[in-house]
Amino acid sequence: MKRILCLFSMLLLVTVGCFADSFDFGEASSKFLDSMGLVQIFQGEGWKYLVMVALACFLLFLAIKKQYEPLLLLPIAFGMLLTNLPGANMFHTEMWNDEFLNPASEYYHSYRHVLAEGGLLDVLYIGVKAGVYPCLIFIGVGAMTDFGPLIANPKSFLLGAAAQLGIFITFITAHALGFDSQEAASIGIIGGADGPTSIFLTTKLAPHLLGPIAIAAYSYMALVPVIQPPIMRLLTTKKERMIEMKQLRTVSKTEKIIFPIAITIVVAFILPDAAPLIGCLMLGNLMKESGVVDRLAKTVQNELMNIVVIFLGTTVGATATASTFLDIRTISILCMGIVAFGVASAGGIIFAKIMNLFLKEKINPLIGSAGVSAVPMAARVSQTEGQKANPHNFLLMHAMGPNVAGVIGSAVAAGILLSMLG
Amino acid sequence: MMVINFLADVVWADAWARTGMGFGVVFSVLLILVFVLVAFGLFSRAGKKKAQTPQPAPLKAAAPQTVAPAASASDADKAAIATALYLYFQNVHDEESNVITIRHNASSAWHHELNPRYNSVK
Repeated sequence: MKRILCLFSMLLLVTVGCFADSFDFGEASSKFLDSMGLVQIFQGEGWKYLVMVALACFLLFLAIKKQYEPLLLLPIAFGMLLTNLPGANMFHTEMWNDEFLNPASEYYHSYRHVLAEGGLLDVLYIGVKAGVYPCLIFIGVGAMTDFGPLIANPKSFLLGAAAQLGIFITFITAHALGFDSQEAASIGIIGGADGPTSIFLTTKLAPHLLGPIAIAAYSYMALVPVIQPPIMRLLTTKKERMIEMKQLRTVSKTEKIIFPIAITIVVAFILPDAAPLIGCLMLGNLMKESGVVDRLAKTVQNELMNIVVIFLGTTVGATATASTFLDIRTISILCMGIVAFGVASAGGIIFAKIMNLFLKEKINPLIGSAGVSAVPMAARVSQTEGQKANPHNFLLMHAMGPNVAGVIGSAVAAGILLSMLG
Repeated sequence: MMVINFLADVVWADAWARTGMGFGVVFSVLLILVFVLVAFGLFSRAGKKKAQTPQPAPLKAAAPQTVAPAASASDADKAAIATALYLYFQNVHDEESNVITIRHNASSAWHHELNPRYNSVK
């Protein structure tokens, strides 16, 4: 057997030698070496690839070991890794920024060109560019959300509105740091603590900042249990944190069914730019609450949501290329993200305290911080802090009201920013 | 110095106007939704009360029945139970079994060590 194999190998070598007379070993080796990612790292600004690969590995560590929003951080980090592999050409930033978005280019808004010339991640990125993925995710979010606590206590809407203060304070701060209006709005929306909304608005207003903004939004959402408690303790007294709230009334099925329909109509009539996000959120919720399309409700909660999360995460991570990410502006975006979260939490708490001046039945100001979306993490933080002050305090359901109101509030804020600056 | 340049370049009146208008619109829209929900809740409760209005008693009254009082829990108990259930179901969704292989069962007739066909091959 071994003799036959040896004979066959020798025959193969002789044949290749006879027919490949035009084969230039030196040229082929040179081409091969040039195409090697390892060589590209040592050429020009190739070191930036190394930094980005290291950063991607750090984010993967946070997602896997520390479990910081792993469902999204893991695909985002891996997308970041793929896009920064030198020579792999899986995502072309220049194709999007210089051609697709450039009115002077012959490929302006040409998806055909992307499909013909783009890499794998370019093709998948079309879903982000067209604003499809965030809306599909919102259908799944709607199908997983219980608006019962909000319907039972409509005042929660005001706490959700107050927490949007973070968006607008950050908008002004970003202006002061030299970002233009579109960029400032995209950075401000991090304060809404809602990943799909941040991605939706940023792709429309400042697509070149999508990578840093998405990473900041999801990283800080995972850090809500770290960011919020000090602010909550700083702005409230122990007596306020101990306030026990009255149980919420029971919400009927009819109310739960009419709620998504009514909200969609009211919001779309006032602010049509918010209709894609609010409409999808409420569609998913109606599927769940109506009880007549269980199969669809389960599909959007699981299969659809999971598939879109993979595409969205990977492609958003892919936008974080070395040329766009390694910039002083990225650091300022990350800093402003924390400011946005902090101000949003403080806005909700302070407004809850103001409401207490007028209400007979006092509300626990801790539920105000849940007005930033980050469902259900922010509500859980309110519950934990409330129980630390008073073991008989059960704030979770009360905090879920402002929490889901925050989702609606941030979508409305995205709508108004889009209508003003889009 | 750079920051000062940035600050000088910003059209502040414009930026503040957009901020005020944006936050104002968000607040107004959600305030309208509060009114919609409050009105909706009022209608819903009025409808329920109407449905529960006692009907005129039948001519022949039914024999009186003794009804056992329902076991009632305090509001705090209900809240504790609701919270515990909510947290349980939230956590259950993300947990997986982590079993990725079939359990090794040496006593099974399918096991190759007991199968003379495989044992004969060396």
